[in-house]
Amino acid sequence: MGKAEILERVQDIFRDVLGDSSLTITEDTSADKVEGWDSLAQISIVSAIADEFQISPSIDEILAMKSVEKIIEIVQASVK
Amino acid sequence: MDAEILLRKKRQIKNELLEQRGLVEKKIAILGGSTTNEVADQLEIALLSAGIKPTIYQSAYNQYFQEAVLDNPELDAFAPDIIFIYTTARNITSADAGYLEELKGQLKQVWKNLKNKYHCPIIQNNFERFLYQYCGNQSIVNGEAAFPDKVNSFIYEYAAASDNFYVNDIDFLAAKIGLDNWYDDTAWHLYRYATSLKAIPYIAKSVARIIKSLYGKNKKVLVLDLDDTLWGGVIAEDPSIKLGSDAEGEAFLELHSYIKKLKERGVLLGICSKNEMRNAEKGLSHPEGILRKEDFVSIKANWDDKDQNIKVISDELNLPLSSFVFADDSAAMCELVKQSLPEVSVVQATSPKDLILAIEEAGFFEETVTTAEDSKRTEMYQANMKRQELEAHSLDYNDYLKSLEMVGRVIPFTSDYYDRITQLINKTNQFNLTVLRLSEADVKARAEADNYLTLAGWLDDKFGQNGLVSAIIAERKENFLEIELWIMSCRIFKRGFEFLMLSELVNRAKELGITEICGKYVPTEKNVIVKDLYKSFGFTCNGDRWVAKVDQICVPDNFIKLEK
Repeated sequence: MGKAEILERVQDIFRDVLGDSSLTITEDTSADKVEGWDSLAQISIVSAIADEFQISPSIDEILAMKSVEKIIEIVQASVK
Repeated sequence: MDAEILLRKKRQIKNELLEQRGLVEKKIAILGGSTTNEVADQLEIALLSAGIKPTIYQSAYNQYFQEAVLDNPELDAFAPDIIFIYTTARNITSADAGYLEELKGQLKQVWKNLKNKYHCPIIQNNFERFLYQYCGNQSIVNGEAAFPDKVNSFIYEYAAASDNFYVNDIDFLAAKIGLDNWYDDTAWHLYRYATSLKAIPYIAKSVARIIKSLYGKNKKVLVLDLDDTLWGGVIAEDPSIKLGSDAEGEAFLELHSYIKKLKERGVLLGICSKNEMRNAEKGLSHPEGILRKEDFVSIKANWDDKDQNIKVISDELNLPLSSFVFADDSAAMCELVKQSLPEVSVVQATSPKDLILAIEEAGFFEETVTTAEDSKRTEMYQANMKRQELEAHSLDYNDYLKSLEMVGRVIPFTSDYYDRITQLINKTNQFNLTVLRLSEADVKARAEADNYLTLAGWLDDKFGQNGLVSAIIAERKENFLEIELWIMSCRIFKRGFEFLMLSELVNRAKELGITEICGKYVPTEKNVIVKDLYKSFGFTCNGDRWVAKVDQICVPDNFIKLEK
């Protein structure tokens, strides 16, 4: 799956979970730069990503998903 | 709605639900044995969907015991309307007999403390099965696997013997979605969520069903279509309908048996079918069928529009459309009723099984208080229909009232009736002057307090008993009496029973040396009927209260003989 497609789907997830329909994310986006991307939102984001891409990230991977770049990398590696 | 969507789009869903009008605000405290943030979010959505806007308090992580048992100024200040104890099998840390007794003792201490301190309904999760059997099948006999059942029996015994204590059956939910979906090790190890996130919307909906039932948001009437809803096939075209005998017919029979149980628990049944009456009757006397003509309070088998028929049933029963559920296999009929009568809850019965599941999921008839009167409700309403027939044939309304030969009884609350009085208080929406909702504990406290005057009223007539149908609670402040609550069941509107209640209130007030009575009218969407009640009795408006000197209250005549 291409980066662009993953990024688009991940952006939809961020918009839904953070309740901001105009939010734009890029590969440079990370938890410390987005308002609302706290530890509670993190759980919802990870769970939505797991559902969206039908993947089950490991604990290490979940802990690493603190930036969009890392999320894309993990999704790309997990989706067959 | 799908659990995944509820989790992902919860903000948007919540904001949309917050735009509804007429939301009732309630304060819910969640005392958790694990992380509860998502539980709180999902509970908020589930309650908003039921018209309740919650403010939610969450205990610190896994502090349910400490927060319940030790001094807790924060929870005191919050003053919860409902406390939800969110424990799960993750809180069971050992399986020895000693630990079992310890856990039972802790739970009991939690319940007692909360009850004494907050006097509000308590909802307790039961314990679900573990994910593992440990040493195999026999573990359920007396090993680890038997532990949840043992604690649960203890919880159920306490629930059966206590007022205001309700079990949230997460054991059922875990079984329903499957233990592999229920448990999620990652969610537990990383965030201390006792279940998978996906299980949480199910838990929230289940608790919300209990809460909305406690606040009188249950439905009262189930109106059903016949052809392809209550049996397979169209009886007018082919009399050999599918009901019992083969696999397809079995499914309809199961629906009959499910609905019959609802009726026995007090749900009123009606029929609304485009059919000739003789065909409807033929179907309802099918040799294999379980539901019979007598099980229904009203049968409309005709060619009128269904929305019109439902309105007629609502008028006949004197129950608001918001207490109706309508089920039909036809999408067009469902749409018609939805458009024309938005207050009615509509279910498309795509199959008998789907209808049962939709009723369960919505919790239309979730029961929290049962009283001896519930099982007789259908008969009571059927007697009411006979009264209406008599009324239609009487020349003058007073002649009709006289011919009913009514006998009333009005006495202070006694402990035998606290449950029925509480039920009536929480489900009466129309003749309800202050819309004050009380728990059974509140009712008991007022009944036993010296500074309160309480009255419960029964009304019988030649067609049968109506049971306990009215209540007044008034607080005595020196020589005046303030009516805190006055309710009357819509079953007996226009019979003059409120006059009898008023006359008894006035008599008792005089005996107590009271000189003045006052009361409030708190307007809601449903209680317009009592807007001018106090005015009609000669009370005068003073700010937000209606006031009258006891000897100036005009009590209208009535035709009810008071039984002493």
